[in-house]
Amino acid sequence: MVLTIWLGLTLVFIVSRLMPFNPADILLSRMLALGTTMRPEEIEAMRRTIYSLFGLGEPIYIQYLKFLYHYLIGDMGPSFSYFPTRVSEIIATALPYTIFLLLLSSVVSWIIGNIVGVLAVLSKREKLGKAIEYVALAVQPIPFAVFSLAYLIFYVLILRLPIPTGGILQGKPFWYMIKDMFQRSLPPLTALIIWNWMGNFLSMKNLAVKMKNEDFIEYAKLRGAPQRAIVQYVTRNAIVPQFTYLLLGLGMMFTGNALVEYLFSYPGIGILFFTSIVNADYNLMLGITYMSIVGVAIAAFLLDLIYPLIDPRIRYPGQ
Amino acid sequence: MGFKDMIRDKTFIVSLAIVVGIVLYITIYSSYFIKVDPSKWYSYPKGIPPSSRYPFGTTLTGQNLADLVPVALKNSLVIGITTAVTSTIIAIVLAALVTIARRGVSALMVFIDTMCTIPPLPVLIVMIFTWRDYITMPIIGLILSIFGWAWPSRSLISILSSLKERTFVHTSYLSGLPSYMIVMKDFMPYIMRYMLVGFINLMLWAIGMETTISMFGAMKMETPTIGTTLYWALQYQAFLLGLWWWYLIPVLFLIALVLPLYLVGIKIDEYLT
Repeated sequence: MVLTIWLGLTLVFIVSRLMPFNPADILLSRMLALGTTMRPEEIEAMRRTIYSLFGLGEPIYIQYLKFLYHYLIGDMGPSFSYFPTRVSEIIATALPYTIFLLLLSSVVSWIIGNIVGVLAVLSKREKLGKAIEYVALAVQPIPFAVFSLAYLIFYVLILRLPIPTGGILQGKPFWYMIKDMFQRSLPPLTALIIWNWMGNFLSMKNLAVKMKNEDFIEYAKLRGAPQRAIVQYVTRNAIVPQFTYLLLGLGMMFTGNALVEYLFSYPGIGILFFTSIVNADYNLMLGITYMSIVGVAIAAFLLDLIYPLIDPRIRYPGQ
Repeated sequence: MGFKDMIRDKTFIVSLAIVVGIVLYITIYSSYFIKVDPSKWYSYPKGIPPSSRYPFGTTLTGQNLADLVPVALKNSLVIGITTAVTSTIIAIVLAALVTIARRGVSALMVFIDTMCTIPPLPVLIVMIFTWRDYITMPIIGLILSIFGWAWPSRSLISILSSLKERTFVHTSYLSGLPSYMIVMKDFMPYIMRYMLVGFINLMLWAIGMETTISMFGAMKMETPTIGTTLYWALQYQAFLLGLWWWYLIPVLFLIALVLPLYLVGIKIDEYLT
């Protein structure tokens, strides 16, 4: 987790220094364009303040160390579009929603995909399993962006369902917040689950087909073990690599997550990202990039804690 | 199960024919038949449904979809191919390094795993958004391959590490073949097939990623790609106004390209690996 965050920070730093223009100058010119009358000395003083705020005008390695320090303590400078609100405050309201949606959608679609995958291989209804596989194969290559748009049109124009909006959550009890989050996440969640279970289904099916021909399954069949026991054997052995892919795939899942958040106006990182792009708010963009890396790292860490339950061969020090 | 069986498979032939047909159509049409640059707005009447004069209709921004769609698909395809080529090269080099190197393997592995977990979308959006006045389509493909190589190299490493234990590799190692020759002669024939499948998957990934980035509005918005076309359709409320041809025709063309391409990949996977 720490490594992911460090690598992410370094990437964000490189990206921010590679910009073809200077965000500090842009902020300054924007503030001047607002029509404030200032004397030249004041403008110069302000320029210096903003430069020191962004840590510019120093050797690159000191800039890097300062950048690491500031981002780690959560000080990402002011946002341009919501000046002078700090970027960290804006993101802090959106990040829990995103982590919630990411975890829920990935775990639920993972579970559904695995169950359907095992059943499709082991059940007697082979035709049904084949049919599901063909549907999944046909839908898989279509970009998620296209699917989510289609789902949005279907949801709003054909089903005519409302997209829930939320009230103020501050000071409300914890369970109420969770309930509200869940209600708001319902449309994007269904879109993500409908899409994502297919990938898990296909990889689980491949694993289960391989597993089905293993000797110990043959033995279990010859021994006359009940169907349920065979299903259990196959699942237990195939679930470990599947779980690794769930962990590593979180970063990729985030892409779909952000898009769906933006399309369904779910108050997460995705819609914030869109606002920052429309307003050319570079500071907020960099902050979001960093915090989404942190968010994915946190989600991966939370799932990593379950790893020993799934794979009992793994032991952490001290156990 | 070999190459000969594969070229006899009807699904493979039909999908390959569709892919080649669409690629030919978009390259020939976009280079010879377009009279007005489709990236220019308001050069045609606005929002006309498909008719004999405008076979695919026109958009509310005054672009002829019959011109716009081939160019958009061509640009998306260029991005996809560039990403696939560069990412495949990076993945092969890294995987070969991990396989033949004696030290620093675990550090490299951790690096690759970490690159898999980092969400690519925000970093790519920031890079493309800030540079969008200067970049061209192949450069967008290069930027996308910053993240494109991570997954393929991971799967390649697992293939190579099992290949490394095979007897014939040991034989050539013990006969004193230099490492680069082992990679070229022993590994390459095996991984080329996997890379062919990986290449197609990377192309699909890049096209999807480009569409997502454009829908956030972070692309070079005046250049027609499938993503930017959808973005403008979204911004001009084409869904509510009932201009179905604006978003449906580009999407159908995209699916008509992507689905057979994927089928070709599956068939290659089925017969050759």
